[in-house]
Amino acid sequence: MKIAELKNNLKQGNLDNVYLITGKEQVFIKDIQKSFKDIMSSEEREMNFSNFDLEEVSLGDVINEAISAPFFGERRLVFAEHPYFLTGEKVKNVVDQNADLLLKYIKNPTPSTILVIFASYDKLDSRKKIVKELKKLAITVNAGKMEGPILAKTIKNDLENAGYQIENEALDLLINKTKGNYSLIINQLNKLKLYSLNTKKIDQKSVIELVPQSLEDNVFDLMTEILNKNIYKAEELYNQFLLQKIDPILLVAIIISQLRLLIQVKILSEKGLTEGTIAKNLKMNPYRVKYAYRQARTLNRQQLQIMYGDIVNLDYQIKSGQGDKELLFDLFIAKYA
Amino acid sequence: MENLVKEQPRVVHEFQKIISSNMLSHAYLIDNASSKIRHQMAIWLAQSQFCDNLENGMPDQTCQKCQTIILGDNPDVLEIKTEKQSIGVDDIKFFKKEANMAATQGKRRILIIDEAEKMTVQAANNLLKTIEEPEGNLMIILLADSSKQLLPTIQSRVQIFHLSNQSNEDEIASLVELGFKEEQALRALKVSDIKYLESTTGEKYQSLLSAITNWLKEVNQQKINCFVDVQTDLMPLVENKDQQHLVFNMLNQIFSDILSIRYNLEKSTLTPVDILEKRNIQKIINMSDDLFTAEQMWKSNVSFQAILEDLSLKFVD
Repeated sequence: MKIAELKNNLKQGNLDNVYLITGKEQVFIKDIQKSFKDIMSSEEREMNFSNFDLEEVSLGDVINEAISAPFFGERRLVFAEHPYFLTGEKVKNVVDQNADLLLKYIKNPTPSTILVIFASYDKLDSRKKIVKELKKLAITVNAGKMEGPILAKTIKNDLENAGYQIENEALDLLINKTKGNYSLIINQLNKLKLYSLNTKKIDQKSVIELVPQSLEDNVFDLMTEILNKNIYKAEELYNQFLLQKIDPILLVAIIISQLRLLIQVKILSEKGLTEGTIAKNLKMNPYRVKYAYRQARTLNRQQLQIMYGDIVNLDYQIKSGQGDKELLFDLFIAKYA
Repeated sequence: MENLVKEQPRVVHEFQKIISSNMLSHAYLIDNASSKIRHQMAIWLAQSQFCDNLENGMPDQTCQKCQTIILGDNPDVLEIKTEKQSIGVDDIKFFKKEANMAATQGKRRILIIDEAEKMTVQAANNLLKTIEEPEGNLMIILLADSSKQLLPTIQSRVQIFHLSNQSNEDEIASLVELGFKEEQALRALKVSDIKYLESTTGEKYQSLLSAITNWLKEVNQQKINCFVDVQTDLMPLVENKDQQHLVFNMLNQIFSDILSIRYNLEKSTLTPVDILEKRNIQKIINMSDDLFTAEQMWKSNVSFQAILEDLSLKFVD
């Protein structure tokens, strides 16, 4: 079910007993939580609303709350967050949960209770019985990331409703700098709207000046400086990372992922594939591919491939304890001098 | 477990004689066969030290003491098992400390180290001290795929028992349950350990084999597209560490098959044709070396995808 449909149903009083909200987009999650809370008056909420963190509270307590009759009201609303047992990940220092309790409950939920489970994870483990049953018996709503064109359209609509316009290049850059995170985009738009209060037009220059570069962008700059043999500049950037206490292992991981995409885009564009087809082939956000496509133009594939081999080898040297990681990264930069 | 005597008559018989004459050593290394059978052998050996009804060096496996060992409930039988890539020196120190406490159920304590080849050099050296000068009545049983994977210093200080490598009926049955055809299961067990095969299904195993074969065909054609294939064709089929291990096993077997085909040796297991026919023998050997290094990198926790992509670039050099 889509968020709009859910909100509409809640407004009209078409309520179900169990909801599963998947995805990590905070703006949507907060919006959904507000919509659920709005079905009760504030007095009713005080008595009949509870919010549980399943990393800290046992499922038994949640189910006990869910089977209790409402107090001075017609329904009870129960939120359950961080249901880590629905994923395949191993989580440390959490309460051991008996998923069978939830399984039993969703098969026969209390009619006067609305149980909303917020599974803010990238992926649920669909092999688990509890996940299969939840998807079958609960109303599932996706609060995940908006992809490519839908995201762009939503931002444009938001801005138009507020009486603003945004240049296409500025929009691309904004989406890239925020990695398509809608919550972040909304935060940045507040700033950009203030900055463009007179013109009501957001251009690329203002996005460059006001939206901070992500760690990935800064690492890309480092990688470009190394490839261009600007060793002093590269060392300066690297030292800034160290001052910010950024682990060289993280830098290596980001460079690997960036080089991978650049090489993939180079290979596929040499075969004559368009940006859209490449994004589809790689199952990747079209904006990321578009950006990489632009960056890859000026770079030499042979050079990128050599660097890929070097950086994977550096990862091995660090992880097998062949030397101090900060020094090993330094030597990696020096190799390109 | 009941099949152990039938599956491994030689080793069981040898141990029977040693147990009957009370000549057990303090350190053993058991290799070959599958992880499941090696583990069963270690449990059988541990049972022989606690069984109430030991007869001709054979534990009955049904008494309460034998059962608690099978269930892992005997405090005197300690097992080091890890899901991690390696067994570190801290793991060994912790278990040594535990193992050196006085026995509570019988006359001795037993430490079983599963996948002993995962021990880091520091961990192995730390264990070496205990093997050289065992404290109290401690028996150490190391289990490994091959004794050659352990430090020579350890090999020379333990008694090594090589299990028979014939495929186990139980293992074939468990793979058939996972959708493998019997012939496919037999072949798969020659390629990889049951532990890794059980992480997949017959259909998935076949898809994985096809994807690896296609990837190598691209390599053979010197097509740089094999770099992209890693993400688009291989990675969607590999969900966990066990399946990654399986990929390395399959690749090693394919290289072995190619050499068999070229030199008209025994029948190949995974590929009936030489899928790298455009590469000369020296190049094949270099590629095998690269594959060996790649596996070492993987054991050090370098990303599996990055390793395969790096191999693609090396192979299409």
